[in-house]
Amino acid sequence: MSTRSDVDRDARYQQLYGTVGGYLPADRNALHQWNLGLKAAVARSKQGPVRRPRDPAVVALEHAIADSAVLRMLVAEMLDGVPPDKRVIDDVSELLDHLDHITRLAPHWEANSAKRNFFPMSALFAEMMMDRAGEEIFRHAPFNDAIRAILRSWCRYLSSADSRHVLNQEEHGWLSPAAYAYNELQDFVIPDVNAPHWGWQSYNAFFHREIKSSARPIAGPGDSKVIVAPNDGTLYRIAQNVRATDRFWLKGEPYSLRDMLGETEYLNRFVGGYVYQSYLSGADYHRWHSPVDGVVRDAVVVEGLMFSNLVNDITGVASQAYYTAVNTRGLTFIEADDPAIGVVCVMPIGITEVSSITLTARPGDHVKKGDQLGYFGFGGSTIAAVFEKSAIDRFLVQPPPDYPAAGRQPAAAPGATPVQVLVNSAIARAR
Amino acid sequence: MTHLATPPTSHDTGYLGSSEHSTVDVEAIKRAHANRLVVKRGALPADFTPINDYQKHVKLEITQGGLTDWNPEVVALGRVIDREPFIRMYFEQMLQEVPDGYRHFESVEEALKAFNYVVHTAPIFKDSSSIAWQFPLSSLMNFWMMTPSGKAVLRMPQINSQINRMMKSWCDYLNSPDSLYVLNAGPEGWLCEAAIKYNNLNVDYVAPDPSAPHWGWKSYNDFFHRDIKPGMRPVSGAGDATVINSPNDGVAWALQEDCKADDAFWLKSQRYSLTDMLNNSRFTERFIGGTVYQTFVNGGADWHRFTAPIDGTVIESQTIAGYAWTESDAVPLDPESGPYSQGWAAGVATRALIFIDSGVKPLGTVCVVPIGLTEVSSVELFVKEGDTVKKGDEMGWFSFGGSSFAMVFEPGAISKFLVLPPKHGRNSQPLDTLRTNKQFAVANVK
Repeated sequence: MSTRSDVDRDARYQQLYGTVGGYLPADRNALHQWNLGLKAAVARSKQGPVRRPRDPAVVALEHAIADSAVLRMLVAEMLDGVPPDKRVIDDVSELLDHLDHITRLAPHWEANSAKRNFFPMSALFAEMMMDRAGEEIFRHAPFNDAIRAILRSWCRYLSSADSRHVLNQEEHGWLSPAAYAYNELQDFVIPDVNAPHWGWQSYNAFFHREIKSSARPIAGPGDSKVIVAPNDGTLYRIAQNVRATDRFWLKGEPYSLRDMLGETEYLNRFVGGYVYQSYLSGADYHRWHSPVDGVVRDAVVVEGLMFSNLVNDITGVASQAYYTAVNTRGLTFIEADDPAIGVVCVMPIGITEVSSITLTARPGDHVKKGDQLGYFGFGGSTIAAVFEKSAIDRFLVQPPPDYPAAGRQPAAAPGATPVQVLVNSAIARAR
Repeated sequence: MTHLATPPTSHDTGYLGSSEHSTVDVEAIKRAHANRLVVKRGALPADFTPINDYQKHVKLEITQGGLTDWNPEVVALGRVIDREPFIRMYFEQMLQEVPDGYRHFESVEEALKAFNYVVHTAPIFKDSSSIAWQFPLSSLMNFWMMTPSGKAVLRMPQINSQINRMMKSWCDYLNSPDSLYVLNAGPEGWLCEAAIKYNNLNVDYVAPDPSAPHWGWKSYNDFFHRDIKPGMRPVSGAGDATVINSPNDGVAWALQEDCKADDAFWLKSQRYSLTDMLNNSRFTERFIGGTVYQTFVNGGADWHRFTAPIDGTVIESQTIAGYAWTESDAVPLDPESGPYSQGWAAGVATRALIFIDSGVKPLGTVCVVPIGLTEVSSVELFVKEGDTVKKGDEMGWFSFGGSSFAMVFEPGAISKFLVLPPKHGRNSQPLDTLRTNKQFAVANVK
């Protein structure tokens, strides 16, 4: 039984990262229709002459649910929490079938933003996550770990040639004129426009495609005082005087460095410093670059949550800073050549779908401003950069003034005009 | 004034954050509390006052210091809370969701100090009306486990397994002579007149040496699962396969026929789910369609050992480390339809399973399930696979804590139960008593 009103559920849906980022349909009823379509596709796939056995990661989830009475209760409560008019999944077996189906699914292009859905798994979970059991289960380790394994499986499919059939020029293909315009493909490097799928070897190869260097010029080349944006994104927040440990779940979502960075020798350098965070939307470039010249001192990926949101009765879904503390993330520590800057930490964070992070710059590498540090596999993402207190003279960009006081993701805050920042453009002046 | 030697976490505690939180409504929590298994079973008072008094006492103790050692498992619990940011979030929210007036522990560090205090102490008698003092961990965690965040965090496997380790460590303490200080004749000691009467000590039980200090018991647990006097639990129907005896002292609580392999045991109907209850045992299939009979062991005078209810051979035995501090989500729903969480306890709690093959049909195999509910939740078995048991043979004991007991019978095994649990509206009905080794059911035997 759902404990939230339909109005409340609508509001929550509109505040979800997937909705704000343009990955999920703007219309919640369209989401439901999409889910019903998937259900029909799952049913059809079960009627085929040859049935593929369930993916081993989905079988592992089935066992995890059977083995844990607590998990079985949470799954049952989560499914039961979806109101009847939005219910698509009736039992555990159907949930497993849908997850299994999704592990062999590549997203299709859709021109109509009201109906557009690029995130099949977020779509499946969207209504289930809105009640207490649905909030808890994505933090419950046996479930989260099993979902992570399923995402790995899905990622392998999306990185294989089997997934590139969606890279075509038909109406729902990613190479159609409308998709080309939406994704601004003119700015990107197309491997071979005459080859099938224009030379991309998989859906993921297309997803984290390279950009033309001319499209993202590097600000202040040779000037170490000009710090550049590590990624394309919508500016979420620039926080100053951040603390070592803070209650990141409270209103205003303070950053909590120790939760973000884990145990690291660099922690103390950042206390009192700055966090610059922006999130990526569907058409953004999915690689990130160094904001400064320097040497990579450490580069690790920390596994965490993927589908969890911070839901606060006062502020609604307010999750961007929460993701920095709890989600799967990369941590690349760069010691800047300019001693005034000190160490900078660039933190790519996966949100939903495959949440895959690949760090390409390795410890010991010297990187120049604008050099690539890594890329995301298919899914949502947000990126934080952490600076020392003494590093920054002033920031050159600012998030909308009514944010973060509103406590919401910018595009969801009424009246806010989102500030878009492009990778390699100047964001701050160093001291 | 002495401070604890090492801080449990490396946090600075001067948070910027406001005290923003929504507490749980006191009236709602009272309604839910009155309906809980531990309250129905008499392991906690329905009234919050003594529970609150115990918590205030712990707060005073940890504020004044006096304890210099950190129990390593409490320190480890601090690390588990600290390691995952969202676990710390839930834990701190849990502390904040406790209603005003009942919220005595505001930070993770205070909560850890409170745990540390409890595991360095043995329960005291106080007086027979202050059950709260007899169950310190239940009293400490009383409000936490009823908050929304507490429900979520206490059933996280990382937290639950570390709390289980902490309880094991506490059990070691209660097995040691350090815990003997509560076995004294002072007004709060277990050997004062009132406590002797409360526990029926002089009538039912054997004291090793009443003239020795602590009457010769070696530890608090030694006292807790003390020996019964010869003749006080006579064995019914020796050699008669139709006679099924109670394996424990207790009260009849629930009886359910036609049990399913999988059932939604967390719903308010509290159906038993055999696969969960029997932990996927290879013998589960035999019991599908069969009967579950559940009892509670009372605190106080009830004996804390259990015996074989039938003659037979132990074909499987296991102990399962389960969830000690969780209750069914259905608990607050309906105060009138009966006690909650018994199906939950049978499917989720720390428990042992002893499968005894009677060798006769259709009685077949009987599964005996001692369940540790609160405090140290420890069940120790004296029997193992391959052992032959006769009615009345001791099969194990409970260490300190509340306990329940279930028996599972094959379909058609039972002709009649002689002691029945109350039916609907059972909250207001008196409960029928069972005595160890006394017949409570008649078996079908061809």
